[in-house]
Amino acid sequence: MSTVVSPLEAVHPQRRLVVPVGAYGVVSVLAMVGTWWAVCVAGVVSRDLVPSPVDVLDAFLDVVREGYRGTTLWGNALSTLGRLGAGFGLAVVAGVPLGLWMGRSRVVNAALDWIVQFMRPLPPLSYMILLILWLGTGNQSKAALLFLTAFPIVVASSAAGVRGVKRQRIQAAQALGASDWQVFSRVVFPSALPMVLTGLQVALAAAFSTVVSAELLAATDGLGWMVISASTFLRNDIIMLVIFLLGGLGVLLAWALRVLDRRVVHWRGRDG
Amino acid sequence: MKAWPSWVIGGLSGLVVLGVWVGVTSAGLIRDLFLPGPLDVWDGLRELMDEGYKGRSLLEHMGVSLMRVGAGFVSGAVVGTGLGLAMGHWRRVDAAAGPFIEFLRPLPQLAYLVLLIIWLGIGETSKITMLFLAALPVAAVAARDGVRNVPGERLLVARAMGASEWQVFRHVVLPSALPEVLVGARLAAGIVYGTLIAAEIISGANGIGWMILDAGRFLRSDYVFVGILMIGMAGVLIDRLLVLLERRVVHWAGR
Repeated sequence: MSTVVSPLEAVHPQRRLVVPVGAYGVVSVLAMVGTWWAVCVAGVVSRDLVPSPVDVLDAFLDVVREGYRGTTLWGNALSTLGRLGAGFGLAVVAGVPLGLWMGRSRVVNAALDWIVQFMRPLPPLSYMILLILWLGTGNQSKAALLFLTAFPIVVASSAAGVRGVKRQRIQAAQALGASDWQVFSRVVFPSALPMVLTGLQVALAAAFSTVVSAELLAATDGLGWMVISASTFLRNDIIMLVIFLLGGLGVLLAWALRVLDRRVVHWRGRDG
Repeated sequence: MKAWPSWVIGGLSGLVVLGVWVGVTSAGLIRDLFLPGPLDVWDGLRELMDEGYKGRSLLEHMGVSLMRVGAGFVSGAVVGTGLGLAMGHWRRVDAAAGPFIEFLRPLPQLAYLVLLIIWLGIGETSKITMLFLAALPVAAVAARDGVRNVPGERLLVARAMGASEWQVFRHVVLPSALPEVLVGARLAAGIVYGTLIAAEIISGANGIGWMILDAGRFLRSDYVFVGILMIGMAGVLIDRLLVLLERRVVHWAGR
């Protein structure tokens, strides 16, 4: 009997050996760590320049037990997260309402949009020195830097979310006799929410990638300070350790916001 | 109320900001060390235009920086897009490369710059490598998602009509994914641009980012302001250019 291959099967033919796709990830990570370890053990590169995975693990245990230059790892992580939370939190509290307002009002938008557009591509480090002059070397200038990094992104995406609301929806609500407030709270806001939350994710990522810059000058604690300080002592094992911690923390934060996003706007992508 | 055109309102708000700036600084409420007045900044700009900053003209600083941004962005976007297309097409490549991309994406660039400087020295290599690493994951994720979002029916139709794998990729997958690839490229450009100053933290005395940091060290706030204004305006300009390019290349996007 002749075999008839349906188009679907032609696209995804049955594989004989079924290897779960996730296994490729595990294998590639293990291979990477293995290569790194082998290169170090074989002495291809100097131990001081590239510490081996074992060295980094040792550094981790050492820092957990003894701390780093009078600070604990958790204390540093917490102060970095605290600054991030303060800066990002303020950006959300101030940026979302402003963005929604700019999306609703043409006048407000025309008055403020150029400022937001100018701030958005600005590298945060460029105004760091001004913030230190204005706010001092304490936590305020650091939180302000993270705030200013996240703020224009939050505003722009919230405004875009409101502008993208379908006209017919607003008109339908108005035709049914909804008040301005009802139109906003029942139609505009829920429709704009997916875009607002996307903006929050982008803004958090941007603020997170600035945390080390915030702790570059005049900091005495924080994960960023640890990297900078370790680099002046050529402690590459500490640098790599903190890089792994920062990377892990970044992945975790991004994941948390994605979960929140799925919870809050469970209708995303299903709205016609 | 009669509707005023947007540019009038924007211009008015610009004038208000300028007015407050002039008022606050000339009334002596804030020392010019903290906030130089518009005239100070203008003088600073003319000084920099005439004499340059520490032996190099302002345009030279700007040019060096833009070259670094360009080199990092182009290399990162090309490699990242290639990797992303492969990740979108083969799920195994995605599974194998995914963990590295996800890890690299949120990492503060300054954290690995420190290592790059130790490994590669303080020359151009470490700077451009950092900008490359900043652009790579963003471009890769965009290209991957672009390929994944290609409607399955399109692939089926092309295959049913006897297209080879390469033809399917060239004529169906690539055009369908291109809008997202270009959006990713624009995002990557923004990130590379935002990282520029970090790249110039340790530098052989050139680049606009180095100029801002160095002027800040000597508390020359007027030069810092000139630098910020120039970097901001160039950033807006680059973004607009990329939007125009996007509209040209993928004129079918959204339709």
